[in-house]
Amino acid sequence: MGIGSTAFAGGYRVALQGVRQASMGLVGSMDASNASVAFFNPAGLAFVDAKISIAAGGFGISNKVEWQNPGTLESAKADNPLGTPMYFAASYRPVEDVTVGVSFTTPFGSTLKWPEDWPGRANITQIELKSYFIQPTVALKFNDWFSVGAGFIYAIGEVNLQRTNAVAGNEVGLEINDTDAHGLGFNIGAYFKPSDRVNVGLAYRSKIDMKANYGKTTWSNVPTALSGSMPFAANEFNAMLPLVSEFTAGLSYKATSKLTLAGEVSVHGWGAYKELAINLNNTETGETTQSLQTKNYKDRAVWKFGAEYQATDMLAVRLGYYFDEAVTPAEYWSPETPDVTRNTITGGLGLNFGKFNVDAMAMMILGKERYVHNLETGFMGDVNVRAFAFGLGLSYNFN
Amino acid sequence: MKNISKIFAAASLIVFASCDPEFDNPVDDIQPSSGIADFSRYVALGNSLTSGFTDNALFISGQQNSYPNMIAERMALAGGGSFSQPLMPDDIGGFTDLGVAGRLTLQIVNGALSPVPTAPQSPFTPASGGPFNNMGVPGAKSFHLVAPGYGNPAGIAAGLANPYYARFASSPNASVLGDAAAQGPTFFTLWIGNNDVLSYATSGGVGVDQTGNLDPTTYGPNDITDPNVLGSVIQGILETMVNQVGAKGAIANIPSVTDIPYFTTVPYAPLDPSNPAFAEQIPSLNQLYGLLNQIFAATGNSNRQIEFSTSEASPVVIKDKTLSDIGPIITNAILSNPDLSQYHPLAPMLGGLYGQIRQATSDDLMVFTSQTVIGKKPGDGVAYIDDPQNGILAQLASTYGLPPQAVAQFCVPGITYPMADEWVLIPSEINSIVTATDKYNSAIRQLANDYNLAFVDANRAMQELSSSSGITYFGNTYTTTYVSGGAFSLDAVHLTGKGYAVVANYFIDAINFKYGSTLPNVNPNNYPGVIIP
Repeated sequence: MGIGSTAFAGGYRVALQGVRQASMGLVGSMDASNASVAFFNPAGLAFVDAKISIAAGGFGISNKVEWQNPGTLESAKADNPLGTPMYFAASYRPVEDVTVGVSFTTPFGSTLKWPEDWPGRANITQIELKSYFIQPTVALKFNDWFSVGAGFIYAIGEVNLQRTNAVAGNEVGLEINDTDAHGLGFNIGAYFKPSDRVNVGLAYRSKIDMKANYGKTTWSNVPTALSGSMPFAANEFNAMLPLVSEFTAGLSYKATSKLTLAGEVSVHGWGAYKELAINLNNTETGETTQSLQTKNYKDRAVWKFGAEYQATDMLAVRLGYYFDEAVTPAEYWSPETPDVTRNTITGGLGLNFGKFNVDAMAMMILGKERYVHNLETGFMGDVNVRAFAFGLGLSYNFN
Repeated sequence: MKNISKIFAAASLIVFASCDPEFDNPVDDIQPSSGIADFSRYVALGNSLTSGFTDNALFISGQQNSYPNMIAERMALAGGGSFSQPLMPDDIGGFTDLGVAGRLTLQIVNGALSPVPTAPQSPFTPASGGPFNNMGVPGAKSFHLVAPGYGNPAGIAAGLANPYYARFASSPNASVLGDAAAQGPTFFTLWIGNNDVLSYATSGGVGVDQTGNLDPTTYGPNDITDPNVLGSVIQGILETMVNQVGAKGAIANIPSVTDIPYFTTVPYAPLDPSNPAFAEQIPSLNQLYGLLNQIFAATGNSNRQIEFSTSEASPVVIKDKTLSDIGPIITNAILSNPDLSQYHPLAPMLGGLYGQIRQATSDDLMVFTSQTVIGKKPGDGVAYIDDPQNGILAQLASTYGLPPQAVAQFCVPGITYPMADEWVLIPSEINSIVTATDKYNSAIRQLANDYNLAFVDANRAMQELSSSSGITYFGNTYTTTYVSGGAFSLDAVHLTGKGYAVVANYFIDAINFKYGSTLPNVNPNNYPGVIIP
């Protein structure tokens, strides 16, 4: 399973954890339609109108990254395989006022494949990042307008990164690979329903430090004369990538019996990503070499707007928009996590078959061209991103 | 149904077409311009650096990666014409019939990486198809460019002519400048003057600083050219190219030659006591030099004290020609001391060897090739020591009438045999080099102004390369460090393709700045460098 995406800010956040939510500009903290709310706001589980709710879905995301250097007239395009993030969530209400649930999501990831000989090969030729969040959750309903919820997150990660460095006139390949990275975190929230027309969600998901401890380091095309010396003698690596926190506040308003409007803002703690340190180790000699890149990402808010129009009893039409500002400073921009400011329009359909709901969505992610010049690596040029995603989700609610 | 499929086709077209990100100014649509310059006929003048000389040889792939060829490829995008070069017959270089070796390659020799010359394959062969746009001539000094007969094949054997220019000179009596002007270039680049100080430096300062001597015909090959000679020669070149031919152009100044790896690779203190073979000699060496140190102290020359440390690397012993020669005093002191009777037969030699010695300091620069002799012993197969005619062993034995076994222990360069002038630049020599370079560069800067030319600050390029941070392009950092720095080739003087690309960008930037052209840069990472085996 590839969780492909460079489609969201930061270059490795994949904001696709519910088809319904994605079709409405990603608003989710106040949408208690089904168990998938566990990821967006654990408290929302208490307001899911079902004793048992099951939601599952998947997406296809095609994303393109382009780079060009007006200084040398070079250009390159990352040819990325179709990403397929997925989710599954279930909730159960054993007693009135207490709802338990579990969600499985893939909220961070990236798959990028640049040409082997492209000018940025010393940074990156290929990267594959995956994360799986497993979140057991409990929500408590205090009265018919207020609930709280909390979830514990166990995160599993995989990373594969490849680059090609020039060593004098030799081009030497480096691949680091780990399928066993881990991290822990939590998710808490509150949900308010002050009237039948208004839903309000507040949620906070903690930062998770995804640690790769005994990953594998593989070099290729190393000159014989250098094969015994560091860093070429390294066979292991360790590194840590922060999966950053999010604070979300959202509100929906049922304007008419058929039209619901929603808005949400989420503040993402990208400021925690200060640097990427990859330690290359030789397990026999104990020698270690560190490759350090400054990141200095900035905290940013994402502004989301969605609307749902219930055209018939069976059919709902949804639209949305969100604005996602770049988090990477131009002077530390790096092509392994290509980040630009994005404007995204979303749309979708919901089909209601009683207990059973089918949701479909599509989104177009339009990057805003930017000029970057990394002071450490000398990487420079214009970059832009565009992506198209579609998704299909199923949910089943019954009492 | 037909309509539906049309709508579907149109919709998928929109989705997929709009899936590619876009740029406001795609590079594919950028048309570089020549500004107020005319690149239709470009001629490059200079020395080995201009010819594409690399790894101590001129050969085809090196020429293809010369900086003028890179510039010409960019000019071709902005109205530039074709650019021809006097390509060598093969990709090894050298001349079989002139004793000129082919390119160096890096090989593992006795477990260590060493540059190894390749045997040349081709004799001296004139280049057909001239005239050539790249007129860089390896070995040329400033005044050679205006010297008639510098390319006369008949003068090569006698050292009166340059074989590289002889390959493409239009006639035996032609000059480089005359041949360049005859092509009627619309644009030229000129980078000359490096060899006017470099050959003095690489020879360890054995030549003469000719500052004050205005007649270059009296100069030896390793002398420093008088700055006024260099200035007037370059002025003459510019007068011809700019005012007679009517070309626009760019002129580059001279990098600090002492920053190149030829002078920064061998440390002044390479004698490491962690090497057991050296460590076990330290007590007897300090005993020998202890005797000399007493004489140095008694004669008021305490600054010449020599001692080898047992805990850290020690500097080599060098001969410093600026020190007063106290050889006869040493000889007499030994002979007049009955306690040193075992040294009496050696006294004249010891006086001869140690009359002008001191230990090297961080102010001295060891030349690159000194690593081939430092610490080597008779029998190690080093010609400098063992050559039956000119080796230091044979010379000492014959000069002082001693048996070879008696002098052998005094034939370890840098330890018992002081490093001769040719292996080291001492401060007075470095001062001559720096002073001449500064004067050359102020003359070149002034001439660039006077003739309204683009000025290429190659000196600053070298400063950037030799700084600790170097020059970084897309994750790869270039420095002046030998081999690993990426910019300098195996001869430690000339550049790699990557290094020449850095130079090409300096030229391109200066040309764009002066003439309002928009020639794109080149990416140094795309060019070849030293291959480590």
